[in-house]
Amino acid sequence: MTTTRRAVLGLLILSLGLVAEAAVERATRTERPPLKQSLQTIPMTLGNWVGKDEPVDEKIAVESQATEYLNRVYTLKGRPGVQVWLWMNYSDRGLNLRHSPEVCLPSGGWEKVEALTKVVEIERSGGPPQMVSLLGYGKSELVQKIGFWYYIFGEGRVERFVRGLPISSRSSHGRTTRGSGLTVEVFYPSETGLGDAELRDFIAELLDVIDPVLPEDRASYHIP
Amino acid sequence: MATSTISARDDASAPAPRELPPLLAQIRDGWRESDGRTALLGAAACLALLALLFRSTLVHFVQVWSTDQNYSHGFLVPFISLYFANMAAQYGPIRQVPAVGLGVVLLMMALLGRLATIVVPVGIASDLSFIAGLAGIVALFAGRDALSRYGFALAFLVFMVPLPIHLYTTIANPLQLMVSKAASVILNGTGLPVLCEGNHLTLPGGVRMFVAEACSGMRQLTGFLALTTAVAFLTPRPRWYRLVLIGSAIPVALTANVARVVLTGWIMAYDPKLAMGTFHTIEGLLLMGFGLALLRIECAILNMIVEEDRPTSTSPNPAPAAG
Repeated sequence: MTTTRRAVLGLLILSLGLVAEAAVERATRTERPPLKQSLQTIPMTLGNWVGKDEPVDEKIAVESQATEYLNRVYTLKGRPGVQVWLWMNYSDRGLNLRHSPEVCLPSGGWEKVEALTKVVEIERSGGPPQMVSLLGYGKSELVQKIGFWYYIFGEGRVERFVRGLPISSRSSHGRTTRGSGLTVEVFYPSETGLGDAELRDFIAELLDVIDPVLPEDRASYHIP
Repeated sequence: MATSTISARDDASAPAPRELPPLLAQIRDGWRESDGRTALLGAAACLALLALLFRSTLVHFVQVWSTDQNYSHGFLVPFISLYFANMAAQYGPIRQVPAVGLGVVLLMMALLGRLATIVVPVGIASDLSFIAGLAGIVALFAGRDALSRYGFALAFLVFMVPLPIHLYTTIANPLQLMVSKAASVILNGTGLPVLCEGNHLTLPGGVRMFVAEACSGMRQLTGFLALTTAVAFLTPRPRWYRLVLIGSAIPVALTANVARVVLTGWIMAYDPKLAMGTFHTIEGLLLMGFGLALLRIECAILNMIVEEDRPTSTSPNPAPAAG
């Protein structure tokens, strides 16, 4: 075969690849389900916790790539110093999923404290238990803990199966999500005196109230 | 007269024209022929289309290399591959053996890998497919012999591919435990009593030490694997020698890490502050040096067993004088 023909063949195959890529993208397009209600409908009072909205830095809001977000401080009734910061953000294209504590906090100078990192199961009265990653990050004398989990909406069985395999990438790399997504982060600096029991209580209360907000077709993940 | 004298003197003192690196020289020589020019232009156009097709993969590579310390060596890998390709090119022009079928198969495999990644979230399929695509272009335009000669340079690119994080942690976690246990045995044996609970070591006085994921050896392992493979390629020794060298990346990385944890244990027992921040980083660099020294010792021992291969001009693999 002449060189020119080989060049034409190579270009043809790769051009075909680009067309096939567009076709497969179109054929396998998944719905990106919206939230059933706005995140703002999440109540200010969660059991013994009372919340207050906090403004979000404009730059952070833009970089989060979220369609909608919620940033609140919840204080435990009767214990004013015991507070948690709730940061939830939803993206209709799942773009927010590339932001995870493991990616974003080190870039802000926070170092992961492996000894504070574990996965816990939060028992709930009204539904299945939720796996949550508890992470610890330190900067100078400060240590903050984070409860983290996230949802992907609209992906099919194949994606869910593959996502559980060791060969799949995690959400934080942001190129494998074909649905929409919601991340939930609960921050609590260690000096607030909050223990694991209070945190579990807060997460359990939160899980009950976010259920009506989330689309039915969802999968839950916790590994950042 | 004067002008011609000056001119002659200039000619004599003028530096000899600089030789191009063999790879560039081959490209230049190819460009001078009409057929070669067509092949080069065709290959360049195909490379551009391949890059377009794998744009998300390339962006992913750069993102991981610049944010994940386990793969910060990724930026170097393409350059090292080019270096190997340049070494391979010094063996002169390659006989053109058409490999259209092989090229098409490799390109189709690359396409399938890319398309599969759209359907299922397995990024590594696309990452490896990109390398297959590169090999396909080489086979299509330069032929089977070229693929054979430049195969190592292409295969070396695999070290720039980030492992899926799940797989990474699946390997790293047991290594982390193994390093903790081995270090505690050595610390106890060398007179520093420690209590080992998983990855936690408790030193005398209640000083707690944690063997982090970064100390599991995986970070060093990925780097050492690339390094030993490069050294094995450059070493003019038999195949078994090279395989032993590559295989030794695992024990060398683990030994270096155990040594690091043991050293950190002793330092923490003396003064915990000395095992933090910059000191800890310096310690890490020292132990990387220790790992390299272990490799050097291994090479010295193996060199006593085996003689250097005599390079031949027809050898497909370059065999420099480096020992």
